[in-house]
Amino acid sequence: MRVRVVRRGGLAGIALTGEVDTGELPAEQAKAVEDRLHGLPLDKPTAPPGHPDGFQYALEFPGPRGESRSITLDESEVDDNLRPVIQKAMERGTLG
Amino acid sequence: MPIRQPFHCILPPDLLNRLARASDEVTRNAALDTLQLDHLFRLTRAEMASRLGGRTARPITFGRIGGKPQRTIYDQQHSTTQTPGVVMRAEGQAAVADTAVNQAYDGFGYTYNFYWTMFQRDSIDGQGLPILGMVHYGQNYDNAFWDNVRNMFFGDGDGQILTQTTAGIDVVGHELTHGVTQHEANLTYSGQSGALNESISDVFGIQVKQFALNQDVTQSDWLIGAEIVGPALKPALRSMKTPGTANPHDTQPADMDGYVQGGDVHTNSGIPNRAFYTVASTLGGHAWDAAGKIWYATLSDSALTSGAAFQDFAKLTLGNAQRIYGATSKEAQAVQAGWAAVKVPTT
Repeated sequence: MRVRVVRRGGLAGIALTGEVDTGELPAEQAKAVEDRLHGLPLDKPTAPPGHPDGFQYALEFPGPRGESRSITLDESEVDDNLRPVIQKAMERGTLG
Repeated sequence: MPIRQPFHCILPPDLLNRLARASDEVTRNAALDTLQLDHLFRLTRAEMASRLGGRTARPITFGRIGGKPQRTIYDQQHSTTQTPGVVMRAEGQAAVADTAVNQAYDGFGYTYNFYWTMFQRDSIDGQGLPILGMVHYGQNYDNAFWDNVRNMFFGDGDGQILTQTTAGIDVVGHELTHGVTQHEANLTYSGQSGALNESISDVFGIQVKQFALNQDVTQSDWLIGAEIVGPALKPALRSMKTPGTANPHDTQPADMDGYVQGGDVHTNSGIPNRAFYTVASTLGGHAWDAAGKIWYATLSDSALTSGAAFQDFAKLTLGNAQRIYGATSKEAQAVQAGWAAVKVPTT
C-alpha cells in the first residue's frame, strides 16, 4: 500500500514530502501500519499543533476499496505503529 | 510506599538552589522536585488569575528576588518520551563533556539574561519559572520546540536539513519566546495571529543573539537558524532583512503583496519580521535600544488580544512608540516607516 506523507510546521516551517510502499517494511510492521491507517476515523478533525513549532503530518493512502483517503495528524498522535512508515517517507523526502 | 520528601515546604528558592547543587543524589533530586513543585503553586495562581479575567498574574515572588535563571538540562537519549531523562547539568554546575548540554544551558542563560536586563522579566512567565532543557530528543529529529509548559526539547537533526539544534542562540531565544508569548498575548497559532506569534519569536530570538554577541543593527546578519541548518537549508532558515532569500526553499513574503492566504505561520511571519528589521535599522544602534522596547511593550499590552491581526499589532506598536517616546518622535516615525515598508496600515 502506497503512503504519501507531507510533514509541515516545525521550527523551519518548510514542507517535506515523501512516499513509501508498506511492502518495503517487514511484514509485521506493514500490517500494523495498514491496520492503524484503516482504523483512523475518516471524519477525524485535524488536531491543532500541540505546541508552537510542532510537526503536522498529512497522510494520503488508499482505503479498503481503493478509494483515496487523507488525514492530518499532529506529531503527538503518531504512535509506534505509524512511526516506521513516516520515518521512512521522511528519510527520502524532498523539501519545498 | 512514597518516600517522604522533607523539602516540600517553605524553604526559600535560594536555599533550594544550593540544595539542588548538593553532592548526594537524594537531596539534589528532592530539592529539584521542590523547586518545580514550588513553581507549580505559582503557576496555579497565575492560571486562576487569568480565569478570573486578569491577563496575567500579578508578580508572586515567594521571596524570590530574580536575576538568576533556574536551569536543568536532561539527556533524552534519543527517546521521544517527554518525561525528563537523565540529569546532566543543574543550575550552577560546571560544564560537562556533552556540547549539546552546555549549549542548551548557555542558550537558556543568554535568553534569561536578555529578558531580565532589558525588561526585568524574571524568566518566561515573569515569575522565575525553572527552565528544563531536553537534549538529544528523538532520532535524527529535525526540530526544537517549547512544550507550552516548562520544557524545551532539542533534536540533533538529521545532518541534512538541520544539525544539532542547541547550537543556535537565536533558536533557543525563539523557542523560549514562544513561552513568553503564551504568558502574555497568547496569540492563536494560525492565520495572522499565528504569524505574529512566530515573528515575535524571531524578533526576540535575534535580539537574544545580538545581545549575547554585542552586535549592533549593522553587525547582525538578521538570519534565523544560521548555526543549525544542514546543507539542504544553507545558509539559514529565515532572513528578517530580506524574507524569501534565506535558502532555496524559502517562500517568505517581504510585504503584504506576497501574503499567502492559508499559508504556514512560518511563511507570513516574514512580513512583521521585516517591519521590525526596518524599524531597528532606521533607528540604528542596538535593536533593543528602542525597537525591542516598543515590541515588548506591545507584546505585554493588554490591548493585544489573542486573535490580533497584523494591522492590530502594527497600530499598537505605533501607539506604544508614541506613548514611550512622544507622538512625533523619531522612534514613532521609524515605526510608521517600518510598517509602511511591508504595506501594513498603522491606522
